[in-house]
Amino acid sequence: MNIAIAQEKAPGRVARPHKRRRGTVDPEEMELVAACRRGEHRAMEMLYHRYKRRVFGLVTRIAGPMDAEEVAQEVFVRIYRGLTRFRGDSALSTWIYRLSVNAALSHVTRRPKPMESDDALAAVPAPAEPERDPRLARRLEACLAELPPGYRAVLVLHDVEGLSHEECAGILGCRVGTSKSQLHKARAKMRDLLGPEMAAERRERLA
Amino acid sequence: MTRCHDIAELVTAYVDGDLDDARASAIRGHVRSCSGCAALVEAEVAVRDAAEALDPAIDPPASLWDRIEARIAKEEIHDSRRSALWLWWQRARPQVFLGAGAAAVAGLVLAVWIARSNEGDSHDPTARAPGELAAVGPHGADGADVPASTASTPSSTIDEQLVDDILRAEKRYRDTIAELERIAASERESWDADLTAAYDARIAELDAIVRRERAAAAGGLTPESRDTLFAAYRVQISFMNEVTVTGELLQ
Repeated sequence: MNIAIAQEKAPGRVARPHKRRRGTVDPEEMELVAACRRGEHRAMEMLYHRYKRRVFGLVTRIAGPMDAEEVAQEVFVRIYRGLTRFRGDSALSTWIYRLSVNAALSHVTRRPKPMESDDALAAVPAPAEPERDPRLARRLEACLAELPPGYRAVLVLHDVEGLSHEECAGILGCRVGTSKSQLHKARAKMRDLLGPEMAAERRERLA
Repeated sequence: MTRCHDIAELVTAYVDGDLDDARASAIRGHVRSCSGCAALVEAEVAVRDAAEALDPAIDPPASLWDRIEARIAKEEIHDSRRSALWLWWQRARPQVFLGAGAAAVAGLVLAVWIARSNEGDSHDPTARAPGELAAVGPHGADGADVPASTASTPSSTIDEQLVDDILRAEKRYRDTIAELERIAASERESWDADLTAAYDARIAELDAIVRRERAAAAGGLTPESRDTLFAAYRVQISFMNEVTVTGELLQ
């Protein structure tokens, strides 16, 4: 196998695939998938390191930080045990995102009581790179936790992950129009939760 | 004329740049003279920018990989204790589903063809039944019938073929369900009491639906009754497959 353990992409804005097309399958990733199917330990570890931070970020924000480790574990087990069903019809990242979102949403719907936003705020792991405005980030994370799970998922995928509505719809298994209307409602709810001072603060920052 | 209501509806598409130029210009014009809508647009932009500024990647705890490895090892050891029937089913089920699906589609196509042919018969008393057409076969150059024995079409009528196809498709569904019942019987020892009870309740419910549809189709399957019955089979197969493969109720 000519796969070398690659360094994970640098954290922060540089690694962010904003509006990146995910429709093509990378031949190197297909080789990695094949090696994982054969049970090659190095390949499995490489796949984990390549996607661990994105998967953990997604499940933390959708399922909540208290359950993120449990859900991320479930996601990676499903990935390794389900790789035989990955045919390369979509990008590997899209397939992994779909598994992550589905696992996080089904975990949320099974959870007996809603997540406490204060606990959630305290338990959000620090991002790999300091946020530009930590206070704003903390408030935003707390408000995200109060959104209904479906709204939270589409807002995280579209605004935080930077995916297009077509990609969101593919991951969520809905129509593009549904993704757009869900995002519209999610942002409206976030506006209510964050209050009018949010825009004033932004004006100050830009001034 | 663009009103405040329009701004509230379109604000997300507007700030994301998803509107056409004319609509976007109309919104900008309204916002210039409406402080309420200007504040709304500003708040929408603030939310979007704040969310975009979040780092999508978060570092998991260092222990996560060890936990994943341990869980995979546990699942693989569990697989090594599975019955041969379960292992066979994992390999065969894509083909089984594909075969059942193909049979259902073939049945549907034939049913539509037959239904259309029968419609033609009712209007034209001189027209031959589809089966007769198939049996008689092509005409010679002078218009005389070619003897049936030289025609390439099978001797059975299309009606009979249709019934055969539907019965064959149904048999495949029922065979698949029977296989899954055997697998479920060998697996249920490892299920907890809640899963066993939920499984039995759901199977009883699905059995009742299948019995009802079969009773309704007692006089012979029509395309409609066949579709309903086959849909019930598919739901039952999907449910049994899910439980026997994952050992849990996912829905």
